[in-house]
Amino acid sequence: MQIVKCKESDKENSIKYLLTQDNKEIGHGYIFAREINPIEIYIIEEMRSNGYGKLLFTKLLQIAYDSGRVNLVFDIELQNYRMNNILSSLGAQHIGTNDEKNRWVIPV
Amino acid sequence: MNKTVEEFLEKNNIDYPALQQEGRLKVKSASDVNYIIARNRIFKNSYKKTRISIADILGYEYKSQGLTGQDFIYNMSNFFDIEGSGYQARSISMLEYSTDEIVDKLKPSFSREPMKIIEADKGGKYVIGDNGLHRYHVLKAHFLKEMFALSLDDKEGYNALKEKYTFDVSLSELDFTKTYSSYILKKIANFKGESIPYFSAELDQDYNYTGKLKITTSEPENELVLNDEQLIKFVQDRFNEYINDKSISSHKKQDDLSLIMANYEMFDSFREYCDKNLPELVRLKDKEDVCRS
Repeated sequence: MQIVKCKESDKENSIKYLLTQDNKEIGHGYIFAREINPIEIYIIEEMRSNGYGKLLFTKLLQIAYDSGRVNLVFDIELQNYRMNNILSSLGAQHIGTNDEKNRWVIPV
Repeated sequence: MNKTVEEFLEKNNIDYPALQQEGRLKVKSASDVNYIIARNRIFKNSYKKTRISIADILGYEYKSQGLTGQDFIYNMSNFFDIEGSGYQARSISMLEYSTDEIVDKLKPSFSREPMKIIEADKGGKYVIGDNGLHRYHVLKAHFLKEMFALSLDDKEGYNALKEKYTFDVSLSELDFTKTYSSYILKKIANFKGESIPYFSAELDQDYNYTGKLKITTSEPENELVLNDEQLIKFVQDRFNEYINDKSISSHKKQDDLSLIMANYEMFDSFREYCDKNLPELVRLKDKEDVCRS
């Protein structure tokens, strides 16, 4: 399993990373410069529910911390079960529910 | 229903049609239990170590799994399928245990990796947060099978059964004062056509809850950080200000408040909050008179 930093990103103000295995893409993620939702991930549908999302997110979290980011805040839609679960499993603190979204804070 | 689940039911003599007929198979999401809380929740403790019975775990967020809340045994096919994906095949071994064995076999997993549970309302009402859906389905099936075998008036037997199926969990515990206060304040802002404030629990430098609520408006420099006493006073002041606002017609106030009053009737915990903290709302409800202007 590899996480590879892309030379370019298709999303503004972000760095893109690919999650691959045997040269096959499993998913990708982005680290943004913004304060809320600084990390986004996407796992190919048939590869979901195997822990890849959490793996990729954790790696990107570490990259963000290593680059000096602190107090990462995420607003996740209530129905986004997978992302809410990833954050909860990493020990994030739920601090509020507003506009049909959970707000999480992940400490360093 | 797939073959894996069919075989599980057959092997354990779980009378699926009888359970269906008894209406015992419904699954509830947090919104089904109490939608006010689900949409406005503030916790006072996110990872409290405690023990909860399977009997009191009412369900999970079935919609986000692409499922319905009609029948949790039917839903088991989403979680257990020997011919399915990794997620569906990885916990098949749980289905091998008999009713006599299941609790002892799964108990160690609860210490190692507790189920994550969310308090959905007062009175012992919980839903699964993350982690624990496979165990929940299997244990609930066995629990219901044993409960169905008890006679209806066997309270002692039921309590013993509940205790038998009680496990270590990690609980997100609700702060009802902050949750309902934020609901009321959002509603008032909405009634008055104002921008809706943002409510969040304050954290200390160790990322623990301080017990205070942060209220952030469109003017961040006017952010409020209130303890519960200050928060209740703030809610009462805003509510009374709204009721006494002569620029709002009594007809509009009546319409606005009718939803809050309907929720007062529907949810015991909300009624408790209002009785304690919003006597003016209760008075209006009793008199059905919102005309002060």
